[in-house]
Amino acid sequence: MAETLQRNNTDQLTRFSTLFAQTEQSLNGHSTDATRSIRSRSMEVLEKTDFPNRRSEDWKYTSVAPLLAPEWVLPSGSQTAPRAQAPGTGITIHFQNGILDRANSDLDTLPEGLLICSIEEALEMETERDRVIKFLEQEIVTPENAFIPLNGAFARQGIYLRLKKGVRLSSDIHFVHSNESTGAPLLISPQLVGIIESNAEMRITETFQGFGGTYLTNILNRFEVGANSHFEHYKFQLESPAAFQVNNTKAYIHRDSTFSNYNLELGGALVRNNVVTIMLDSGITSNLYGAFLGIDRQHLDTQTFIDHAFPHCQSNELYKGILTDRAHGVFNGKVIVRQDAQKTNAYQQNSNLVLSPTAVMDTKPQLEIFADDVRCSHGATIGQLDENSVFYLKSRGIPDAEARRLLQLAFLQEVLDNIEVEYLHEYASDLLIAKFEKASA
Amino acid sequence: MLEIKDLHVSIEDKEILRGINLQVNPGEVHAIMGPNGSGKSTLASVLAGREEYEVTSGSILYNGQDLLEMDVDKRAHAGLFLAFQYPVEIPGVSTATFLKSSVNAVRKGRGLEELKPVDMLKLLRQKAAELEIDPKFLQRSLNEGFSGGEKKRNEMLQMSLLEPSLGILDETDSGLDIDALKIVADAVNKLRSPERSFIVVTHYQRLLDYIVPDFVHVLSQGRIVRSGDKSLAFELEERGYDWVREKA
Amino acid sequence: MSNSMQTLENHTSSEYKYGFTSNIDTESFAKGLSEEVVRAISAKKEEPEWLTEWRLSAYRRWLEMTEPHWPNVKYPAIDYQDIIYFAAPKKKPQYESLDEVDPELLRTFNRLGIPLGEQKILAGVAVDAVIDSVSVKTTFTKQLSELGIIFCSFSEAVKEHPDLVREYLGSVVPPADNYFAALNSAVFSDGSFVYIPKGVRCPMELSTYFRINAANTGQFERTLIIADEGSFVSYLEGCTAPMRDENQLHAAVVELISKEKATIKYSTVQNWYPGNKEGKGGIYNFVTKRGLCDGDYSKISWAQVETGSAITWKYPSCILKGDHSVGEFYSVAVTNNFQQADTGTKMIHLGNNTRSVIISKGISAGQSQNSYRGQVKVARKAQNAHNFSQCDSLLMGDKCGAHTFPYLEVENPTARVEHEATTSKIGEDQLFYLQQRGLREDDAINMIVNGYCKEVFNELPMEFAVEAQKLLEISLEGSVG
Repeated sequence: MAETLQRNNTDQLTRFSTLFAQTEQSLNGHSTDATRSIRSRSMEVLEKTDFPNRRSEDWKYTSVAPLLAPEWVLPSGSQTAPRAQAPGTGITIHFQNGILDRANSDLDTLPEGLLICSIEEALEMETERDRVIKFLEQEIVTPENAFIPLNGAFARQGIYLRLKKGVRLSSDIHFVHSNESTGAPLLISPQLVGIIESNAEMRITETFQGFGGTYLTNILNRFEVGANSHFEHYKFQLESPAAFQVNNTKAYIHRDSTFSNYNLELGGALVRNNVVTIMLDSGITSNLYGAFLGIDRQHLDTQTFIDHAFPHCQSNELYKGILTDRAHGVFNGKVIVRQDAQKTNAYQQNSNLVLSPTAVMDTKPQLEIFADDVRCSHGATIGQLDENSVFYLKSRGIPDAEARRLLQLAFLQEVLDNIEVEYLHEYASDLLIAKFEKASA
Repeated sequence: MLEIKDLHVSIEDKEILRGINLQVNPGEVHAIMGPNGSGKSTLASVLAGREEYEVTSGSILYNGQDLLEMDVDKRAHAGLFLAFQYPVEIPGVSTATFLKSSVNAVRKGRGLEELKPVDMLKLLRQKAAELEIDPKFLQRSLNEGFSGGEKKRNEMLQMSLLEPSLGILDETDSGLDIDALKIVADAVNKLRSPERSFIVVTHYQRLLDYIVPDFVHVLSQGRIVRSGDKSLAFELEERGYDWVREKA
Repeated sequence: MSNSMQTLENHTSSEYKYGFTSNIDTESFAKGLSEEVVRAISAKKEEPEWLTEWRLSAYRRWLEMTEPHWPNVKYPAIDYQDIIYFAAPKKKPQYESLDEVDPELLRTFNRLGIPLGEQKILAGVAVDAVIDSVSVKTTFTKQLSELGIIFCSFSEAVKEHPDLVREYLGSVVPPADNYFAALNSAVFSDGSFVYIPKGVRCPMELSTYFRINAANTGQFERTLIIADEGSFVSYLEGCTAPMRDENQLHAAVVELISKEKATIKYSTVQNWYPGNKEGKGGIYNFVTKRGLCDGDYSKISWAQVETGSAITWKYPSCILKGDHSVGEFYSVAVTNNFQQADTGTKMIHLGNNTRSVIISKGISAGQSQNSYRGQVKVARKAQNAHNFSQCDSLLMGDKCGAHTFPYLEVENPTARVEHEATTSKIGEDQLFYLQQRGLREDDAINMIVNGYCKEVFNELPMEFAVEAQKLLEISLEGSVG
């Protein structure tokens, strides 16, 4: 059963507090002390944190007002949206509106060295308890924005993942979120805490597939990548046309490790991504790749932050977007190279195609360098399709619309080409093509 | 081959190596392990002749010669090769141009004739293929925009081209995934011979599963605190570096 | 300081090679500037009345202007009354053959390595040599005139082709464009003039060598190049000066006009005396260079290698007026010791489908300061403009500075403007790496610097590229040179 919020005043925070109080009451019977403690800590922090407004430099081009207006209710476990497909074979974990769908997940057949369970379960394990609490609390106490404690307050059955040191996972892990609201607007709060220990290798994907209705997916992802490890993280965002998504993803990376983050943003009415990588030592590589395609009145905003604080690290960032109709794209890429981060290589590029006079793209690459022996470059472009190329293709008999679509696809393909895994590359390409077909329909 | 006696090394008046003794005979592979800051990379850099390190006392004999008296390039000519922990990027200089200059400079230094362009090209292609390096890669600027794995494979390409008598690998395995690690290890194993020695500096025991050493030395606070055979590496992996810190 | 750092310092502190003076008999005016001096210069050059008036009006405008101080350079105030505004080799340079040239002058040019002699015909470069303020020798004039190409000194052009000069002089850089352009317009003494007729592809490189010889003189030359419809010309400019303790002012103006489907390639190797190691003496090189892509599909390409001068202040620019016109700027600017450079370009996109490329490579050594300053402007009506800028800075040592000031002003939404910038340091790491692979220090430094400049050297005419590469080696290498 969905718990309805009684609007008592216009203050959004008060509404969330009320929702929280009602929820806690109904959960009391089946909730451990530790999870309840994290939730109430989150609520306390949320009550003291303002939601960002456009006066804040980081939210200049995105208003959160549409996210705060609806009377959100929480999903109940009994709602069953259709089940989305995983991008490929491997270990698949399904969620329905953010709630773990155990029956359809591969939780019982996990390979050696891999632990996946609910955060609630992890809190009951002697070996995991302390670090989960420490990690989650640390993230919630000083959040980058109010959506983080909002997630902490309302997340139920967040996921805990740990890969043991020295383990190379031969199958990929797919987190598949099927989201749908058939009635009142739903507040969905997925949470994923991943610890990848040293000398380990793994790849995970997250798919967010919408099946209609109004809902807000408010994601909190926290990863810790141990020394000399390789971790790839993919996000395929296919939310419903009336849905919202806020994604807070952050990775703490240790010595000699590589973290690669791939983002394909196709769905949603208003989407805001925050991707943060913190490099804790030397020899680290961070790769951030993203492609987005906005149609109709979609608003797709990505903010990335790469913090270079130690020498001999590298970051590569490529984001490309296409905006048409009345869509609005935002890219804000911040790279800081601190004074001690000598020999840093930081590359950042954001290129965009704006295809209609009513579409808007705001891009703000921000490179702040305080070290003197570094190689850093950044570039940003906003442009249109090259008419010479269109003409060339047409002169070879390709119809105008087809020629344009080919060139747009090629434009975004440059991002996808950084996906080295064949089936994921193919999956991402197929999603793009499907969206192009929708755009031209 | 190499004889290090009571080597003391400082940087900016801070003593990093505090009396290293090490003998490497032809054909031997020595692994040097230790926690960060123990002096592993310093040792590798001093052997290759990096100048910001000051040798305050001790000696290094290399094939009977006083190594510390030799210039950096002369050491290369004499067959000492350092695979860098962080290979340096040089924009605008193609990898092929660099490799040709390097191979010919070393050949000249060894009193050999420079290779003819045709033979050079053949050699580059053959060695690149052995390391699964795309020939297109040779046209790119040296190390510029290379991934960590590509840089390290490029180091191995250089090593197999220069055919050193002493190869020093400074954390060549750091940051590599298993596939890349195997390629690096293969390159070293192919070069192993009764005349050629290696010093393998590593932070992670995993590399030694693929390059099996004759000796393992554990460095802590500028001294070799333990030496043994490969089982020492496993013991270290089990017990962690705190164990050697206690010993030191 | 470690040895490799020491090597870098040595490499970057070699002596200026062109610092000799020649005992050429010189006639010069007294120091100072006034309307009388302007009139006297004009009279000396037997100029028509309109040009005298043109100079005077520029002079009057100059009096009202103030010296600009926005560039990122520092120098003591210039006393404009302490400069000699006209100096010329006394022997009137009207030669039929080289045998008649002052032998001392010939020796000067030989020492500079400039192919003046007929024996250098094989080099295939037509040369106009300007010493102090006067053009002394133009070669290949006859061969060129058969194609209708005019290549002569500016003074000669005023006499022989007054209509062309009058039509285009000041059309790209108006007399009151800026302080130094106004000064030049008032007192310019000579320079080169080029006209390429419709449809003619100039069969050889045209080249001017500028040399300041006399003491206390300023050099104010003026270059005007007109490429008529469908023509092509590649023009080279080289500059040197003797070593003197005082600073000397060089304020030149270069105007280029490229008509429909015409291309002008303008290459400079600037090696004015940079001053000594303590920063004493050297040329103040305050130059206005601008090209107008007047016709559709016209193109102007600037390539410069700037190694000299105490202070360089120049922004070779392109006004892209014609549709589909193209502007390019390729630059290597080297500063050493106490040199200062504030250089870059302006690309003004006015026509539709215009394109511009900016590749700038700064190298700073010693205690020098090197700034890139570039403006890309896309006017409101300029559809589909495309600019690509790449600005790289290379630091040698840790007492020098590199600064980048890009200005992007885009008023048309169809524009595509791309800007990339990098800063890196040539240092012990790169040197150590190459040496560990068996290379000698000197070879290692050359390899690094040439690799860095490759994109610009590729744009220079073959002969010039070799010269530029050598010049760079000399500027940055002490132990070898």
